[in-house]
Amino acid sequence: MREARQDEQRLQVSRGLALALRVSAGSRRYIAVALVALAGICAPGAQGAPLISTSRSQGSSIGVSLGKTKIEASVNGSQSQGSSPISVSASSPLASKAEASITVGPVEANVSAPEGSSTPAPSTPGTGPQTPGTEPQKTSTAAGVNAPVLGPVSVKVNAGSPSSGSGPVAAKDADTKSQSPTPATNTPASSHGPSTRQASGGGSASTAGPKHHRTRTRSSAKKTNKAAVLPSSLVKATASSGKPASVQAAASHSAQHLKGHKSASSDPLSALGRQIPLGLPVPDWSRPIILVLLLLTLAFGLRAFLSTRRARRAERAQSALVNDINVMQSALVPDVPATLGGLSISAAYRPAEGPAAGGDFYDVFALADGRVAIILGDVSGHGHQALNQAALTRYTLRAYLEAGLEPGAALALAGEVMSDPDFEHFATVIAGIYDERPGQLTYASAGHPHPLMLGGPQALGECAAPPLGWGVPTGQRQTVLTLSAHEYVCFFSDGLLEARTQTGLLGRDGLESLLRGLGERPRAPELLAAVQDSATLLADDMAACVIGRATPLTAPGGEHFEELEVDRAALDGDSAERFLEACGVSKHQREATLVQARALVGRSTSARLRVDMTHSPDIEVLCRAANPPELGERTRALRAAIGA
Amino acid sequence: MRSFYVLDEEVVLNESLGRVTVVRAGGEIDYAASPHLRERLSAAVKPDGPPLIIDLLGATFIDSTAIGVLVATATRMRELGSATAILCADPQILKIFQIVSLEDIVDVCESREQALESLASIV
Repeated sequence: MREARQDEQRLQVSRGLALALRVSAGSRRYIAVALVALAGICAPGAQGAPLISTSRSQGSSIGVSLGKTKIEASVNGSQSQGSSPISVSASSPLASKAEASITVGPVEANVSAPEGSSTPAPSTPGTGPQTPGTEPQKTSTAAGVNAPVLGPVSVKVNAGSPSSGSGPVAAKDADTKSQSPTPATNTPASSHGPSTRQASGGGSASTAGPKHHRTRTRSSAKKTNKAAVLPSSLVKATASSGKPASVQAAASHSAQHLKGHKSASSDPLSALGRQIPLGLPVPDWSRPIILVLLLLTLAFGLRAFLSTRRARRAERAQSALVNDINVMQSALVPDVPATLGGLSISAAYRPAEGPAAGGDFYDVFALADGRVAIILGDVSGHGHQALNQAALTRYTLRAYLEAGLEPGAALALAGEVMSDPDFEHFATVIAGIYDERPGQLTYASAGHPHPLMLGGPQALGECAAPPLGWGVPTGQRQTVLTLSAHEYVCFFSDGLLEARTQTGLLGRDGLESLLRGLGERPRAPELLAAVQDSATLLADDMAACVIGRATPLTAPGGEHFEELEVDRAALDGDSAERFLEACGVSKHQREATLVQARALVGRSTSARLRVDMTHSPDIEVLCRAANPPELGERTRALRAAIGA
Repeated sequence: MRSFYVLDEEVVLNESLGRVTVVRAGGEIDYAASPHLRERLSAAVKPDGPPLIIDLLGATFIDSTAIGVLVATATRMRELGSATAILCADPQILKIFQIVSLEDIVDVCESREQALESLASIV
């Protein structure tokens, strides 16, 4: 439990962090890589490399390096210049242009500030009082550098860039032990002067050593000097104190403690480089490459961030769209009650795969007198047009059924008013009314597959009426059934029949076997799932509605009537005879019925043939004049109200 | 598998009817194929044009959209005073035609000879 709670807390914290940062996981990865690259650029030469190392090349120069700070002491081997037999130079770790040099008599210390430091002014070579031999005791103040010259020692600071910079150079306590009366040379640090010979880059051997390291230099005059003990750094470069660079050279003892590490610790970037461990040394030449990679990383990271934002926006738009579609869909396939008016009802809908979605609809609702109306249909075509047509058909039929029309009459009226001017769009629909008292279901189809019966007599599919929208009379066929206790009726759209299986279309037989496989109490969602499981492709929408009795039978079941309304054209054609034949009416009886029907149609507009198939093969045929549609109470009240 | 084709219209000569336009389509005539079928059929529907036979003997599947195209074509032909016949022998498709009562709108025949006879009786 506690672990689970901790996990949950961690999850919440990470979620909150992600939310606070408003960046995706991908962007965070880019940021991490960028930080590492930044550390690489700002890192000292090598992680784990000695802070102080010495190098010696030839016999005449010794280099001490502190991280990237290099201090070199060289003994001028050639006497041609006649000056500065010893020179000490330091270069800052943070900028390649920062150099300082000090020359003491024969020893020269050379210090220069890094480019980008805030040295107020650079020292100008050749200016200042350190003219050799003229004023050996004078203190140089060039470039705001307080450089006392003690005796023959001259100290010079050269800033790389005069205009910029934030760190004054301060070389503290630089001292040389050996002093000579040789006047200080005033040599630009960049060139190290003619009298200074430096073994720059000569040092190759680096040894890890303590912070306080002693180096011995030997003067050209065979005089052994403890020329400089440079334990740390001669230069405190890029100090943010804003103090003017001051270089003090004093003839004193050789051992000095220089706080060179400040040069690194005062720079936050450098510190960053130290804190983030790098596996490999970072050589100078790789830094531009790392910089390029850093920029690339930042660019990619920005792109990832932007694309994530776009994706998030698209996601929001999509969910809004899905909500809209759900609202529209609920106008066509609403939630239906599980039980209503003595019926147990289940309905399900599944849109097609691909572009053919839309067009199926159903509705189950209670009528004013307690009967239950069922509508299920399919509109030809797809897309927005089909959605409109489906909604129009559903609500038109609902209105007619609520007004009290029989299913066949409702379809006939809808067929009249919903004729499509192009005759191309049409709706196949089945409408039914269930009356609980006799347990009787009456339904009519307009071009729609007739329902599957489970546990009762199979309805007759022949002589179907045409769909709504073709401009031809429809709604002539009607079926009346009394449902028994364990009888289920399944209304469905043709998408179920047209599901592709490995052996071809599923078809009515395939669908019926799937329905029977669902057990005694089949439900529409299970049927659609079964169809989906057995199908390789579902090219059309699927809608199904399964109804069965929810209450015990109160009236004797098993009644089965098939009805056909015939007009003059139907009697002249063969449709009436085909209907009677399909019902199993004998030839003699057919002829007698048709004669009777013709006589009735002569007097009124149409006649209704009602075939009683309850006791099949004993079949009774009733023929009577078709009454005008019987109107419900509401319609009668409405008509009375408007005086019709 | 899901192939559809519709051929250019051909004109056949008949003793009693004179010229008869035949449009042949086959394969699976579904939602995606219907626009092509509609295009070819509306080209064949002309004022004072010859009667039309829509030959679907090669069809393996037809959906409600295509049925709508057939009905629209037949209705327009009738309005123009001409006649249409549909050729189809596939039992599954005939079953679908029966469900939607296509015979109420247009003659459905199983052979070309039968279709020509049917057209001759109408025109």
